[in-house]
Amino acid sequence: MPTLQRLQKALPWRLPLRSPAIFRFVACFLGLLLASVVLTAPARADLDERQGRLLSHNCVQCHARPETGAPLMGNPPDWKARNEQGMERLLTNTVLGLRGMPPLGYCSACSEQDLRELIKAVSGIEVAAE
Amino acid sequence: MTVPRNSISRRRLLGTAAAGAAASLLPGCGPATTDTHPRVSFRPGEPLPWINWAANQTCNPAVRAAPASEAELVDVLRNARGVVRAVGAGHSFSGVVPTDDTLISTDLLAGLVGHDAENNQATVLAGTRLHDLGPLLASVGQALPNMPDMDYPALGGALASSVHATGAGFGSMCSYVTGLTLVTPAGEVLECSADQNREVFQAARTAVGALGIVSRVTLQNQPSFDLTEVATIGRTEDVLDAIDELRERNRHFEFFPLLHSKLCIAVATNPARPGDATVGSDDPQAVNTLRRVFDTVQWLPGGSGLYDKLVELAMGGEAATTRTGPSYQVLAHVRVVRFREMEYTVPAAAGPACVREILRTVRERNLPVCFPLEYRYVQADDIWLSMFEGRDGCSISVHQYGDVDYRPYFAEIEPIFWKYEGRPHWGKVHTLDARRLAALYPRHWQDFHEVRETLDPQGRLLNAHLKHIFLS
Repeated sequence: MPTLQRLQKALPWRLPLRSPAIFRFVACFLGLLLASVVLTAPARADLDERQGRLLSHNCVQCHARPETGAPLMGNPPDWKARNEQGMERLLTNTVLGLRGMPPLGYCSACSEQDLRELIKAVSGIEVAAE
Repeated sequence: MTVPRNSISRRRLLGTAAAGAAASLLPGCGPATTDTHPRVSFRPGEPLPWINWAANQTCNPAVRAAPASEAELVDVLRNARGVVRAVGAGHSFSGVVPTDDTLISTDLLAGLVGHDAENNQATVLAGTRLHDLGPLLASVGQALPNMPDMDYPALGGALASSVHATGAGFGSMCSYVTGLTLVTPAGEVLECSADQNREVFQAARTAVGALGIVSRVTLQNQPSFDLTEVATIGRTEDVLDAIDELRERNRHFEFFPLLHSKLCIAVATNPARPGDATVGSDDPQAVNTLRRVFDTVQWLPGGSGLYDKLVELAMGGEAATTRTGPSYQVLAHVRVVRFREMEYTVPAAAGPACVREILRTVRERNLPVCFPLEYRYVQADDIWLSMFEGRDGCSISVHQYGDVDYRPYFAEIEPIFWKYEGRPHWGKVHTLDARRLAALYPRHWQDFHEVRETLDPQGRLLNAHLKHIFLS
């Protein structure tokens, strides 16, 4: 079974993407995502199917594209200083926008809880269980 | 907008500035930077505000809905309270989205519904972002004939405001629409095309979200194809002198005049040929490089002239930048520098005179701005409120950095557009009200409003901005 299909099958949510080109793109992204999950196991994002779609519509377009200059998913050095500010600061910056980061991360459909889960998935920040 | 690529060598430009003006000793002066972000605060646990990409529009909706199907969208619209507005990516600069009542996100109404291989048509949900649309269409062997130079918007938002690209032989995004499904404020689902609900179709292809929410769209595409884009540095006057030939000879042509400079960046995009190869790459931060140099020198006596010389020294001999690949990858560019934009479309023949007057005004009034202009061509269409209705258009954009108050600059330039019978982009900054807009659309303004009043008799979709542009 091709790697991408294995990855897709392993994920709890599916990306609504069908083309070979986007599969290549998503394969890269999924690799980064899985790496982030592995490297930061305590902070594992718990995305449901809806949140997975929000991730692919919004976050991935910058955080999985090196040419944007945005900190990349699955690349801990990009996130170390940012994550040290804590989830509440990351959340506030996400909502209000910061430099190249668009307000709400482009996600008008997101609730605060959605954003918290997406931030965990993108940044790998460790958040103590409540 | 697409601005300076690798052809503006950041290191070289900054290095030249340092040598020419002892830049390292000077503070970054330039225009007084007034942070024009709306004063929005947020603390975790509070209701989320909504803020657009450019951070010049905001609201605090009481209800936020994100329907995941047309049936859910019907339910949301039927039961919505107060002023109802839809939002996709939030990339509009004008106040088309804000409502403190009900905000409906189309994020989850996304994806490919089906396609017709024989006729190269595809039906997609209107919340699909353009950055997903290219690959989705490629998966069925199709491509948009043309697409904007950035791919962040949602398809529905792009159609609501007649988003366009460049190319004398290509209309706006709306001109590729052969059918659409409109959910009205009452929750009625209307199938619209040239053969079905024709008047609604003519109104809904550019409606600023005033008729309902478009849930799905059928697009007239073409087989997948590759393009090659070549960006070169040239002299603005040379480009304008040859503009008719450049426009006709290239599948897509646009250029970016640099303010306070004789130079421009000319971008020609044509079908890829065997052997085409990518050389260089986009530099999404290039406009910030220009700004640093401009801020460093513009306050000096003769600063504008010095800036012109520095730009010429840095860029004059730069080689072309070439990008090649699938059309949707070549046409779209990364955009990470926040800005605000005003764009008017003037009759195509008036484009050169209009842009020359803008450049002259900036120079003679020594306006402290350096964000490049953008100059594009779009083919005429017959869509009632399209900026291109009934005439080939030349779209000229002015921009200001996101942390600088854009209003003084735009106020200097906007009357120039009026002089050339310009029509403002529905999704970008302008100051026209309904009376003045009606005069720009003499053929179908009334037709549009008859449809609008039929579909939304209570004005549930009219927020403050829409009342200003449609009712005032």
